[in-house]
Amino acid sequence: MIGNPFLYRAADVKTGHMAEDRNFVNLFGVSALNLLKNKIQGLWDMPLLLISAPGGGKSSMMRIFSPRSLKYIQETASISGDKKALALTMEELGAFKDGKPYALGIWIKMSDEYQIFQEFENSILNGLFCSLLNSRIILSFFIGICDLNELFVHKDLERISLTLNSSVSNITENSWKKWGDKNGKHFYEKMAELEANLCEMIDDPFWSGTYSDIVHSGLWSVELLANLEISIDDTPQPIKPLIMLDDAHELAESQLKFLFNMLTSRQIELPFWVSIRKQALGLEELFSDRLGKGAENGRDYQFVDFEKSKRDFRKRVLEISTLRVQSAASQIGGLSQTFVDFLSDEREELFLQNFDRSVAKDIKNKVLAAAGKDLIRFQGLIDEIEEQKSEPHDLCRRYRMLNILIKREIGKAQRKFSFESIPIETLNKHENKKAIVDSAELFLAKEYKLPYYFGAHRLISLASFNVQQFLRIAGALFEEIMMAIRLDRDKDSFLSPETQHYILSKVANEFFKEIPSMVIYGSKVFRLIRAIGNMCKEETYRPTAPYAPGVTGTALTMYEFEHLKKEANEGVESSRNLYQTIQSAIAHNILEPEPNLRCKGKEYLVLYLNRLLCISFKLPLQKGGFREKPLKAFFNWINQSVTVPNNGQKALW
Amino acid sequence: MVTENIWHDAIHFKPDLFHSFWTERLDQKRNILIIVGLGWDPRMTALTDAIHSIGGDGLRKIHLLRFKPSPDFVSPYVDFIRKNSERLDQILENWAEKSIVDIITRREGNFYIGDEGISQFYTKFNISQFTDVLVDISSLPKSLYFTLLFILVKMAQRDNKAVNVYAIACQDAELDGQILESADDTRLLKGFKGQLTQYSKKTIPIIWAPVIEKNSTISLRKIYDKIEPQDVYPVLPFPSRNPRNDDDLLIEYRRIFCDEWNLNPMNIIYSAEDDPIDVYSSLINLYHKQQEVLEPLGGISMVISALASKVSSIGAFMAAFDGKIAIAHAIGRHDPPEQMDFSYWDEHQINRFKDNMHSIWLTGEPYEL
Repeated sequence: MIGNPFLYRAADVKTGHMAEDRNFVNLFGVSALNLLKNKIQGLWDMPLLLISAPGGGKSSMMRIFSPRSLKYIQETASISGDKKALALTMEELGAFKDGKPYALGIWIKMSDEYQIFQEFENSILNGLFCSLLNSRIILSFFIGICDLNELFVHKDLERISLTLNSSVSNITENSWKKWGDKNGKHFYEKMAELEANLCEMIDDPFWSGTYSDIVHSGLWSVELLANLEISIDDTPQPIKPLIMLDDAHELAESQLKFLFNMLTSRQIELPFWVSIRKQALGLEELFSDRLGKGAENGRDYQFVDFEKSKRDFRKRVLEISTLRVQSAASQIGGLSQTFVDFLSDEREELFLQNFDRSVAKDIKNKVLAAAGKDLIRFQGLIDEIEEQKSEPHDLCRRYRMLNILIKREIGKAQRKFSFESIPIETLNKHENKKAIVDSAELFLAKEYKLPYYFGAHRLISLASFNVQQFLRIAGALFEEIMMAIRLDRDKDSFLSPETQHYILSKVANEFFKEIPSMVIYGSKVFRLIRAIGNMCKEETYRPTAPYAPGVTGTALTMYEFEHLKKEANEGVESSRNLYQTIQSAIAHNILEPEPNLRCKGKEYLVLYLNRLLCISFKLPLQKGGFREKPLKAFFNWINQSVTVPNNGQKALW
Repeated sequence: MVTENIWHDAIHFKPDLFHSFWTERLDQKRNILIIVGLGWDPRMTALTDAIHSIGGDGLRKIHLLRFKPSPDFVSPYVDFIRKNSERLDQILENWAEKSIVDIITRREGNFYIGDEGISQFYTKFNISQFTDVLVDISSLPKSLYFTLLFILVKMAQRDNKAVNVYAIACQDAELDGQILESADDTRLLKGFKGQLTQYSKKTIPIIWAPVIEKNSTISLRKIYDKIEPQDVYPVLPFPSRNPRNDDDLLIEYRRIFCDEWNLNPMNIIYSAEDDPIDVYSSLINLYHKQQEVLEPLGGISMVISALASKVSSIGAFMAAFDGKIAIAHAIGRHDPPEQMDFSYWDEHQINRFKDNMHSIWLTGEPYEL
């Protein structure tokens, strides 16, 4: 069975099989590690927080430091190209020393089972949490050593010996005496038994054990690993454990707080990375990149916000797409190695083909109709455009821009005399604005039902800085490419603008339709987005194009936002609902926030639509245009009744 | 290797035999507990109504599970819920004693604790005063009744072998097809976590058998990401009332099966629609076969997800309980069909519901030999 390499989820999440780990490394784009290179100063000394919406690439970033991935990178380092670059980058980052893995990634996926502890008495909550985490850190540590050294967990653990090499705190020393063992096998078995007991306690409704046997007094495993000397067959192993807690948003709020307090206490002796979805952080933390009061970003911890790391995004996703296409090279006959080679980006040619003299005449008639009885004021501009003997498609574009100018002039509050002609300089200035050119292109595409959403540049914009979203969009396009190749229709494998526009519209509508079931407080988020989208559409297609090239977001003043937050914290039901809805939309990257934006003497929280959703409302993809709304409009929006839209659309617009 | 399954001779009374079975059974004195979920589903009172109509002698008690995400939550479907509640009270008047069991399903941070709530109440509840415990799953979410059945069956097996526990569902494919289900978060349900989460068992391969119906794309993706299986064995309904049902499902999930999972077509399992015993047999046989084949490597961890009808989900429960298999479930809201109004409570509708009851006998007399 031939699969679509862009939709192959196993490459992102599946663990366990060596083949899957190799596949993962083969599809990993080395440029993603640039996000860490920017943090190199404190990468191994300071806690690192990786945050993003779902699908941002946090887990991949951790998995590449897992022992199996590092081992495979080491094995393939001699192959030139991507593999060599990966090995060199690992060396640069300090995860490799002299070509060999030095970091021992202890990659632990957090899950909801830790939250169950919140149902127990206060005095043992953190103790149980620490206990389960300690057992898993130690177990993963042993499994990691085995993976790096090609040992088998079930028979080779006895070859591992451990020595506590310096003075440690009382808690750690006592824990070592109680739970630890110099013999790797015995230590592993004790931890496995502890973990099994804890899992039974969580799962079995009839559990009747004793808590004191399993509660730990702290996260001693971190200090222990920092002070252990590890030998295999009496040969010391130069390794640096790196603890990576993935999906920490699965933890309860108090557990996260406990974890963050511990991390920012500057008492952690090991590199400690935590990945977390934005939904677990408050809006204040998201806007400021700060973890509460007292701790300072850059001094006590480092932040990597994947959606805010925009500079390399284009490079990253192009690299990923190339690797994915390469992985399917044999299936597609090696036609091309680069995904974007399959996508037509001929915008000018599209205009050339579709706008002839008759269309130009039609648009001119619209210009004349727009000018109406004030035509004499604009006649000079029309003559100027016609005298330049432009090609029909260019003429169409200029007429459309002129139409906007006329609407603006006529719409001015202060009426002008009919003999006051508009100077040519005004037209030139108007035509030189990129936003007006873009607006005219959008209007023409919509009015003459031409494709608009196509080409590599727009495809990348549509991803809204989220890797999974990019893979989804690219996957839908690549499906068509693969189908054409399978059916021996090579010429169709080069996707026309029409095909791209149609497929992208379908994906966008599916994405929009999924919001109620995919997102926390989904129905309210859906209503909010629908209202924002409709408002944006209305503003964008006003004849004067007042926010050219279009409105793709809304805003409320920071004052009103603070007021909303205050009421939400006080428990006012309606305010809490709206606050949670906005928070959820931002956390899932459905809305892209820009806080504290100064405009017209006020500070705003601007909320832009996810770029993919712009298609559902036929909006341009540029940012910048937003329309502020009062808080009461937001309250109305989330309370309107919800109807899930129909799937797909056959017509282009 | 021959493995004796707990329910190899399980008893399933389909709608055509439902009334005759219960009429005969209630001919003798029986002490009955009916557990019902308070919700908007018009099928909520169908079982209680049916048992009330049959009559009989003995203790009659009702546990009304009032489940909601927070104590002050008001459902948007409060009118339908009130209708059900009033109807239930009419049926129970001078006939049975009602107790309300409050289950709060979400804790701070939206964390799901419904199964914990069920566990806390029913592990302390004494079922030995009853001869028959009927769990009406028609208006209960799967995230509650899997754990509820687990506890009741365990209790009946361990302490009170004479207690008969039944899972009863009113099947209405048309209504079920119109209910909108969201998949807010995925969980391994209490009692069904298996060894899945243990790091010390990480090297044991995980296989996943989702029992599938339509409109489950999001749940399938979320559960897959949660459990990260090495192999997937989708269970499709065949034979089915609509003979093309399985083909339609293959088309619907083509992208997930082929592109995302690289599924081997040989992995697809078929079991009869609305036949929990067939679902149970398929799943438990899969488990035993895989366990046997991979025994030298430490066996397997299996996970089941019941994304299909409630009747089929009983089969999933039976297999999970019998094989100590994990159950992963996508928990979310259930919204009624948009066009639903009070006509769904008209007499002919209620009678239709009463004529579509399935009864699966899980513990007690048939298993004592």
